Amino acid sequence: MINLPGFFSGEGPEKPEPEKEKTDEAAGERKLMMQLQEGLLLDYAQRFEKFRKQRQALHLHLSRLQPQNQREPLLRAAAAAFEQLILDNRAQVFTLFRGDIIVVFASKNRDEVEAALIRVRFRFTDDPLLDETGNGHDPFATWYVLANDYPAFLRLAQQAYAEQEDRRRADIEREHAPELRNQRHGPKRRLQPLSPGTLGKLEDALSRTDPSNLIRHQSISAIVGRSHPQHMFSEVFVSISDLRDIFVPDVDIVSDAWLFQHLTETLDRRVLALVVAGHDRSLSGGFSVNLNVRTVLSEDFLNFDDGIAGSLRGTIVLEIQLFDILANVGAFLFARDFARERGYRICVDGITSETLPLVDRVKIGADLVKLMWAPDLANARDDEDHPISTALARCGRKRVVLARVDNEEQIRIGQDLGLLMFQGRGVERLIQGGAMR
Amino acid sequence: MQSEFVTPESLLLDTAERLGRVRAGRIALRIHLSRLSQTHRDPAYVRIAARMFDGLIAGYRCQVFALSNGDIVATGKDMPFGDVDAVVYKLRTLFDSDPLVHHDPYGPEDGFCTWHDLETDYDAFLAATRNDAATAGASAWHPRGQRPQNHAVTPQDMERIVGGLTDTTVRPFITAQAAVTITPIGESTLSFQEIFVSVADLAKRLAPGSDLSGNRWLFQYFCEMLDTRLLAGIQNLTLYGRELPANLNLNVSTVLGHGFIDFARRFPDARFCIEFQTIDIFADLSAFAKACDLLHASGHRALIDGLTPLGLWMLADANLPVDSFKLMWSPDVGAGHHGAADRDPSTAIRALGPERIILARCDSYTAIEWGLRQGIKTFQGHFVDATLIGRIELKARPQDAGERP
Repeated sequence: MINLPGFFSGEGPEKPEPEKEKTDEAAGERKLMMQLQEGLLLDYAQRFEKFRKQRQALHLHLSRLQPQNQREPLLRAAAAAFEQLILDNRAQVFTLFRGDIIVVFASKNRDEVEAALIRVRFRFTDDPLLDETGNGHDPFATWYVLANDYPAFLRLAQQAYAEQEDRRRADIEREHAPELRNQRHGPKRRLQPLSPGTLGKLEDALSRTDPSNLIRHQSISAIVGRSHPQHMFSEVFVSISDLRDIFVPDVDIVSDAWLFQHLTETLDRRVLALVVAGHDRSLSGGFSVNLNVRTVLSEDFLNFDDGIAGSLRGTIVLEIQLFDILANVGAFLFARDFARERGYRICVDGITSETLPLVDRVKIGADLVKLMWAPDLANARDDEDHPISTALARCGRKRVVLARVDNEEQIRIGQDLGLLMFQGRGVERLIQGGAMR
Repeated sequence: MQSEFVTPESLLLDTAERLGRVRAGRIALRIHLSRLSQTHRDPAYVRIAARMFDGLIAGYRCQVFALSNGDIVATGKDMPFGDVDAVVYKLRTLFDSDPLVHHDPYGPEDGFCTWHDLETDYDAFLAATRNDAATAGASAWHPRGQRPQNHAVTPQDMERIVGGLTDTTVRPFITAQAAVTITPIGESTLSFQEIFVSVADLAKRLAPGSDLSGNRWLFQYFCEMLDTRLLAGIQNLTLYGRELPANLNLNVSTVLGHGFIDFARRFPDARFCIEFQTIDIFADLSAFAKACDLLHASGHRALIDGLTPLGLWMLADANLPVDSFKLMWSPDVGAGHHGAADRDPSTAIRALGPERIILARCDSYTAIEWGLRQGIKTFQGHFVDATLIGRIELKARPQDAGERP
């Protein structure tokens, strides 16, 4: 678990010695993957090799169900069928990102696992997948008797791990949604501008879709010197470019700033609901979500708050745009005091080198400030009197995240400005294993 | 008479009557959210305020009633004073920017929170709950003047509403309001006129029964679409038979696009002041800076509109390229209690320079008096219209509507 307050008050991770770098890098990568179910599964599979004789496993291919049966509540209900076995410590259950469930248990508990499987099957009886059991092969459930099938099971775990790794890599390649935010002038392609009518249709379509495959994570990491990034928390957001490609490929969805804001507010509320559903366990190490002040004050947020364990709130960061704060300062102060009372942390999002000098972090009462990378930041290097340097000092350099960094050079410039926390494709690349040169 | 429906008030009264038999160790407290100023009377705030009692509910089976007038009443047995007080303290923090919270806190004049020790004070508590039950519904909030029956606008509605925006539909709703400057010897002179579309009236025509401003983003979009119609609809800059400098409410995108430049060409001698909204300015500050450069280069000016004391406080040290700031008067502004000392609008006004402040929505003499004490010279609002000048609408002066070069 990442301890944010500890980080903020401390001096940051120590600079590792050069010979340690390689090991740290592998350890960092492993640590990240180990927060995910796939990492846990592989680790578990490798470790129980010597006890395999008394064990069996069940793989439920929920990802093969019809899309309407892959909705979040149904998948959660499927996992819940094994809950008692988990509570009694008689089984280990892994929920993979693609929706599949893997149950590992001692052979003597086989009957109970079969009983649970019957309950799960019952929920999906309307799905054609469950009819295809003719030739002795069951496409919905695969059993592994590990005394004989251990190699096949290990391959399954390795494959799941590799898939999750690929997904993470793909996340990084994709555009980061906030890059489209605040962008008033659309892409060069000849696209139709977004009209309110199209926006309405798009939002209707989204309300009938499970958006979980549009959800992306990006790591906010501490990088000191040339050390490997230390993951702190993940920003959870919806990939706007994927959303456009899937739903409205001919529309420039950022053509109007206000209609785009409407869309992002709708998406942010969906993210809240998805996150609290807890499907994505990779978020257990802390995460941030984008919110409007109005959303923090809404029922949606209160529902989210109800669903989050109190102990986790300190690891959750609410990212709020500066213009939203200034649009109604009174409402923001109310929302902020409420959120802080509940234990959440506040980050002022969308700060540029132009708005940075206007941000009084203490006045706003934020824990973090997210500054967007721009080339002019380089001008403030070695110049303590530069307005950007003064503004960074006023904010507190340890509280600034430099976001949208694409490469090491930009991270280096951020470090020269005294910054410690970074986010962006450049960081993801380093996490993937590239070392800082 | 017993109400047919179960209301929070009737539930509270039921509870209060039952408590008459078991008063020992019981307290009740009422948080008077109904006495907050208009800006804090928001159902969302009440919802959150009620959540502050969660700990007492879980720990001491405290009962909480959110009344229809916004007040929250909580009662429980053997609740440690420190725990209850902590909740009241949290609530005070939440509503810190409301003057009510700062009026004699914990003293006999405290209007925010009332405590009843039911062992000794039961009758007063019962009387209050009877009064609640009798008046329930009558005092229900209409937050921020919105009528609850108005339905929220959807994007599809907005498509239709914007489709109905033409020069002809908008023109009758273009109106002007003057502002005055009060000199040190107490004389007032016309300072400028603000030409704007009366959106509330236009909304009644275009979208009857809809709450057009309820959805912030769609409303901003609507305002953006309205700019062209406003500019097309302005035929002259005459008010009270004489030409006055004009203030226009526009979006940054309109000033950066061709809309404003083309309009300004129609009035080559006029100097305009453009009033921008904070949300529009900070949605893209560099675009705003460009818009200000453009305006200043052609001799026009820029102003930040719609500021509350807190907005002013946030922007007090921000070195923005604008000429003036419009502070919206409300009784809160002059109330003198704004939480932390630096949140007092007087501090921000001094920092920004009182000569750059326009006090708008002045609806009473108190407003003018307060403004003059701060060194503010320019005033706008119904009180100014009624006493210092008189308000006329452009549409009421068809003789002025002739085309001008």
